[in-house]
Amino acid sequence: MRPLGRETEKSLIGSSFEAEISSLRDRLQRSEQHMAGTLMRATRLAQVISVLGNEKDLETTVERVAIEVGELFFADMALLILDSDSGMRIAGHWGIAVSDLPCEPFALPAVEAITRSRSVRIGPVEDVPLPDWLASYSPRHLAWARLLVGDRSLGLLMLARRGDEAFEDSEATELRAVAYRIAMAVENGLLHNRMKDQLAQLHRLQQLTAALAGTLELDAVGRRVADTLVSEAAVSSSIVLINHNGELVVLASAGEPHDLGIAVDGQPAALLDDRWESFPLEVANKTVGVVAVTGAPALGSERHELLLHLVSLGALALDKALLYEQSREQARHDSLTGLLGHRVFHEVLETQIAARIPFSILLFDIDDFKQINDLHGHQTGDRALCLVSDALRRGTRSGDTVFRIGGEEFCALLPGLAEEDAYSVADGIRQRVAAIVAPLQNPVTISVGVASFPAHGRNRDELLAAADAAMYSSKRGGKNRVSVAGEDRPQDLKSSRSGVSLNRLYDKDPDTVIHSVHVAILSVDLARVLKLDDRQLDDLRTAARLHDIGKLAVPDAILNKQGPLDEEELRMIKVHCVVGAELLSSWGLTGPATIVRQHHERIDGNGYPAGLRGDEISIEARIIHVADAYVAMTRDRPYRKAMKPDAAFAELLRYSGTQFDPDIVAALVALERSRPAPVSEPPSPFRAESPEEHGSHELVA
Amino acid sequence: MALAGRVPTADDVVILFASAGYDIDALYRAAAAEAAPAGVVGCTSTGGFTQAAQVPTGCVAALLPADECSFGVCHVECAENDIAGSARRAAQGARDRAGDRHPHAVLLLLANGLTSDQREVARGAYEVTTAVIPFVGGVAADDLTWARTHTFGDGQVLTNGILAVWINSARPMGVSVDHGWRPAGKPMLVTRAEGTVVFELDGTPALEAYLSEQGDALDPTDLEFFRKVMGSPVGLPNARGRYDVRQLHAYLPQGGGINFSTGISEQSILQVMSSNGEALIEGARHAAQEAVLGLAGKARLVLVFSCGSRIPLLGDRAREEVVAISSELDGAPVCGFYTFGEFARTTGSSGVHNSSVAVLAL
Repeated sequence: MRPLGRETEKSLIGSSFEAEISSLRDRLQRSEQHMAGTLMRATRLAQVISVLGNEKDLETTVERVAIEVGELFFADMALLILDSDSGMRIAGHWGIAVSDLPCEPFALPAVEAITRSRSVRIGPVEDVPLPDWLASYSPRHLAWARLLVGDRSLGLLMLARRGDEAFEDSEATELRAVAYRIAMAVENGLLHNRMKDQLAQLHRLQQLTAALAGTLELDAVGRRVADTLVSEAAVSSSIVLINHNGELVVLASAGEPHDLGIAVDGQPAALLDDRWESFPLEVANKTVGVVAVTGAPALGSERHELLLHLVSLGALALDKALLYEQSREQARHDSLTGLLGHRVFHEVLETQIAARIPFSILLFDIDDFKQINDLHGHQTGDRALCLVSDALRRGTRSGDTVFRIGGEEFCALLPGLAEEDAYSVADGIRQRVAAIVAPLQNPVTISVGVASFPAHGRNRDELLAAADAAMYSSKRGGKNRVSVAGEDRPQDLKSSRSGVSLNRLYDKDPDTVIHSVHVAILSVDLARVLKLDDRQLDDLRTAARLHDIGKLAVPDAILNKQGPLDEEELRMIKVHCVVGAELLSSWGLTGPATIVRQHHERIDGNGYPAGLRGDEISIEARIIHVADAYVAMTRDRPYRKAMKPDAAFAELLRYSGTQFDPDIVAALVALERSRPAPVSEPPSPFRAESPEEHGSHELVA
Repeated sequence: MALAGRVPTADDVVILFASAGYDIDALYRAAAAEAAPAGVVGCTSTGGFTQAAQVPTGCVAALLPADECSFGVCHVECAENDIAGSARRAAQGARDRAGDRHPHAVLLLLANGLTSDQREVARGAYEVTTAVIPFVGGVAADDLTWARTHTFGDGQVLTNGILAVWINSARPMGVSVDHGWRPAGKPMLVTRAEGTVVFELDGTPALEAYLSEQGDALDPTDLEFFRKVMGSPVGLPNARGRYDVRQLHAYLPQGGGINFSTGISEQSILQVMSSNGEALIEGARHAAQEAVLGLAGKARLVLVFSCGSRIPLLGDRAREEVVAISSELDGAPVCGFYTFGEFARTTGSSGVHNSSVAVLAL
């Protein structure tokens, strides 16, 4: 054997070393790879748990976890599929185009074999279920893991690899743990969402309850109940029906138009077919109506319970709204005569004027009504009022409306009638009333004033003032007669000197004249309460209507001045009492003249012009003083809104005993409070004002 | 030069990598005028290279001819609150414009280097490529100052852009990535992280834990700190037993958090990595070998995206890395640039890499 040469020996030793080094490098590399894989796997579950704990909501969590698990398991594709009542849906995906995912909800019959007992399946694609819609992605190895919480399946996790690396058994074990963690997170997320939904629903129900409690309009309650059944109880359509004269009528509806086509508001319920399921609206054994729905939730389900709750809530709210409507209707009518009341009259009159269609009003006052009461008692007086009311109803057309606007004052509103025709109607009523004999010794008569829109007034106050003036004319003309505003029948205001002066004042300061009419009406009402006799009433009425006639002597600049008056201007204003009294005296109206002279005297002696105090001031003047202030405060003026009655009462009471006669203030408060309250008044955005602030330097001393 | 006498067509694309020191708007306009009617796409770099030369400062360019290929380009501004959505829009736009004339496809991505989370860019792109189409590319860079990077193409120059080039080809194309780094430190558990910031490793401030793994003392206040740590990136072991390398590029002065350009999950494992010139060159060579493995013939052009953080460790041997790559390509032309990060996904990974070499063989 030939010995190896030195170089050859060296070369062989070198090769051996190199081979050894190479082998060691390979072993090191494999060892490093093994360690890396082991490290990765050791922390994989912890990483998934970390992701599950970091995300804020279920949707984001499941989206993110599909990506993370896909990356952590070196998968090319990942799917997180969640079960729902209607089927399966994709909650997260990785490596698959949205356009390749199935329409939701979908079914995967092939994966039903992945059960609780065998909740993870791994293997080559030939051995493991593959949905058709994933075939084009050419996966080679698949892993399925069912998301289980106890025995309940929440869905599936799928991982797919397109390369050669198969899923190992150890990975199957890991996937089982990962799937369990995901299932727990999904379960928690679903519970959290459900709790959030329930809280939100509770909040909405609280809002609904509060809204229904604050809603009195029947239609609004019905609409809200119908809408809420659709939005909260998830019915397809809903109809709210109420009992009306023994028949169910549709109050409101919501939901699918094709269902509701048969249910027009107001239609009887007989049109509902067998698609509708009905729920009675019952309150304390009383059925106020019925709720009918299509697409009602399953009996016993949460939604069904909610539906029943909403029906109960709706029943309470509708019952309250019905009661409110009933009481509102009652409040609109005078309880004795059944006629509409004075507030409704004003509302209707405003509406009529706003429509700009000609009409007339008839203002009636029963003549010597106090005598009827005094001589025959209040029962007879009430009977007379009813008989007159009946005559008014019978004497007017079906489209006319009759109101009782004061103690013995009535008004009829006659749409479309001009003054001539209105006069005929009025005179017919007058004759009809005059024909009433029983049960009285003397026939009841009425004085009537006729005014037409727009001929005698273009707004409410002008028209009322004109009708009142005409009615007053009838009284002065001898009662039991009809006068038309602005005519000489029977004794036109224009023909009297006081009428001429009043017209002059109207031209100069129309608001003062209209104000005076209101003061006169209120003063007469107060006088009746305070049991003044007829003579006093006549003088009071005249004085009240003319109490500011002396303002003819006051320059316009002072009358129309906005803001406080200086000393000289106040002196000029104060003159109007004296001027007015002298004018009335010159016309032979001595009684009213005294009242007008005193109507700015205060019971504490600080009034003007004479500084009289207490009983030195006539009762009529004290009445006008109080009525004047109250009317000034409670009527709208061009420069400010009216004060609420309660605020005006407070002001009167504040000055009661100093400026005003306490008995008269008390009588006014009682009288006004006894009148039916308005059904609803929007809150005034304006600040209430005291009598002094009320531009009433001419009204309150 | 990239045109090499060829008269470009409107279907061709010229890819251009330029140093950050240029007036990029003017550069893009000039390049577009020269290449017209072909489109120009590209980004700024930490330097470029071809099979023939290193270009530390300057431009490198290559013509992507439309022979047997079709291209779709889409360049969008990246919405910081929806990075994935922006990447998805860019990828989808490019795909729609490329049409579907050829059976093989690859998505080429170039993204702003200062995008806060490059993993989101990859995830958005993956929604369009799905598991079927590979994507590859590089993150635009500057002169390692981390000040501003540009992408350009589709008629605009952007500092916060995502540029997608969808390449359809009649022939298979190859995508691969490798790095040449090995784990050198002990495994450390990420005990607190948020997005791209790792706050704690093994329960201690991350910067402190990272520095304790360095053989040589590193001073974070040293101006050269980030250049020095390029030699010590961290690696995240993956299920295949390999390491996804991540390059630290900032730290929080308070709290000791360290910042990466890619999101890192809590409870993952980090190890400080090490390498040397030889290993890095071998890593690049391996990437090139893998890229041409599935081709149906010789590559016509190879685009290379090599991380700028490899340059300090390669030192004078940077050229050897390109030579090693070229040696595996049977003479195919090479055009590449030094990046702030790489994209490459064929199977199973997130597709985001640092301190690595990504290769696209056409």
